[in-house]
Amino acid sequence: MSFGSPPKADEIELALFGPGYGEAIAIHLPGGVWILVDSCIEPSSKQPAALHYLSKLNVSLNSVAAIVATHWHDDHVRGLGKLVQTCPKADLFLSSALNSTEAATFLSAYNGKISSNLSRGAREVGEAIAARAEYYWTQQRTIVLEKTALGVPISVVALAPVPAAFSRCLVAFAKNIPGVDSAMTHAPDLRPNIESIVLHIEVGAESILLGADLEENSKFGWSAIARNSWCQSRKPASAYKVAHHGGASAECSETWTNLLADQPVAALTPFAHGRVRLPSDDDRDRIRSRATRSFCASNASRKPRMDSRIAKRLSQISRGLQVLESGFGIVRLRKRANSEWSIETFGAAGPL
Amino acid sequence: MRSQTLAAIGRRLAHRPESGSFPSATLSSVKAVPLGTRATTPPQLHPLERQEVGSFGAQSAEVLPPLVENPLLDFAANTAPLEIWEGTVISVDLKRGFMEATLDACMSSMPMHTAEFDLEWVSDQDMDLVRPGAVFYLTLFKRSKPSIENAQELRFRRRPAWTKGEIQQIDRNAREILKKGKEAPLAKL
Repeated sequence: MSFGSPPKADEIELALFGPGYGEAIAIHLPGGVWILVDSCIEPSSKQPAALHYLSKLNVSLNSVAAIVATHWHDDHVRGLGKLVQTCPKADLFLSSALNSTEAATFLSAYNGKISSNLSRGAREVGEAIAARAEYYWTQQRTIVLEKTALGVPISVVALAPVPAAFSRCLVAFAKNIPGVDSAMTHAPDLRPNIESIVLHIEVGAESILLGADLEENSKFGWSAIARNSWCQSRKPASAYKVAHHGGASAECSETWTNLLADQPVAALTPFAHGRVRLPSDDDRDRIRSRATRSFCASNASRKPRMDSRIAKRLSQISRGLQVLESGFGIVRLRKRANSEWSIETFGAAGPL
Repeated sequence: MRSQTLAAIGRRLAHRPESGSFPSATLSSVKAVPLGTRATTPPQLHPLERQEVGSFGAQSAEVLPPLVENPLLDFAANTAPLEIWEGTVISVDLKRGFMEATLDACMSSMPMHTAEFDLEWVSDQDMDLVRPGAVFYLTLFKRSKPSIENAQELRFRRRPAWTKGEIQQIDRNAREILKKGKEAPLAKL
């Protein structure tokens, strides 16, 4: 896959990577600064997608100023450890919902150091932490990056997680901490997701909203953010990475009215895990009604990819056989001052 | 050739960083269930199999239910595996009797897949292990004796319990994790 030339020095870029299961984002800011959000694997190179992309553009990894892991779920952190190891100047940001003894014990139990394969997500976060002497807790109002470049003020701040969510997250982690003689099991995904880091990026008069996997909840989710006066004071975003793969559990009308410009450009990655398939047809219709220019990072088919003889045998004892990572794609948005977003798709990406 | 292939698969599974030693014990000690039938009440555990099972640690052979007899040599001589997958349960619906799982192929480089399995394919002795996140091994193979037939085997991985030493290590690691965390500046209201 060829990605052309890197963004110009004064150009904003949002590149959303999606292999059908997984998500990662690369943001370019004026002055040649990159921020990477989450991580997934590019299938041909088996590398973290952002690393593969930046190397294709001949971008130095020293220009990555920050790496943000929005949460610890497997589909958002594959390759995170390697990403942090290979970007030596990037500060690492983790959700403040993990800033408790209970959460740290949870991650420590499931990160594979004592017993393997209990949680890939916890393992990747553990590797990322191990690769740094320090990392930063991130909550609402945390400044990830603030500078002026080429005369343009740049601000990258977190709108979530909200502090009110921390005690609830603590309880959820505490419930899943193992005890002596308790059965060794795999780490569950804690739902709803109220621990995700949501980022708001302002570059001059432009802004972007990255919704991560935050779900709706009146106290801890999108309603709480959209009604918060400080969050409302942020510039309405003209580009939006749709929260939680476009699923209805993350839908909140006030997100669109309070945090986003009218008819923003929207991009998302799909999610399919067993019977859960996001976005659904209704989700797509809803998003398209709000953002006529909407794109999905992977539109490829999930038809099984295996020897037909084996597929036939497997189908005799199972149902709904489908490939997990349907096809890798990238949605790329670029913009310069006083111009519209230009949109490109690569690989399996396409209109929503 | 077949015994070499199966032995190699067993070694490969044993050395996968995330598999531990269970799969080789599985291949040596679990009877394949012919297509369309369920596992029946198993015979007594062979002393050698009991020793292997004991290597799990805290969970001793006395705790585990007896495994069905299936000497590895017979398995190797009369069968040819088509594929072995390491499965991870995504969700379980006990009411409707099925589980969803991801399947990661062990013998080939095929990409990961997901599928739905009726719980009737899970042996009675493994039912207590069926939960989200649980790991199982699914083998599809062809048996040549006494007659040519397709068969499959689905067995769950049984992990040991957490030990006191492991819990103490977890606590120490957690303290190390937290030590590195710093507060970043907050934007003004």
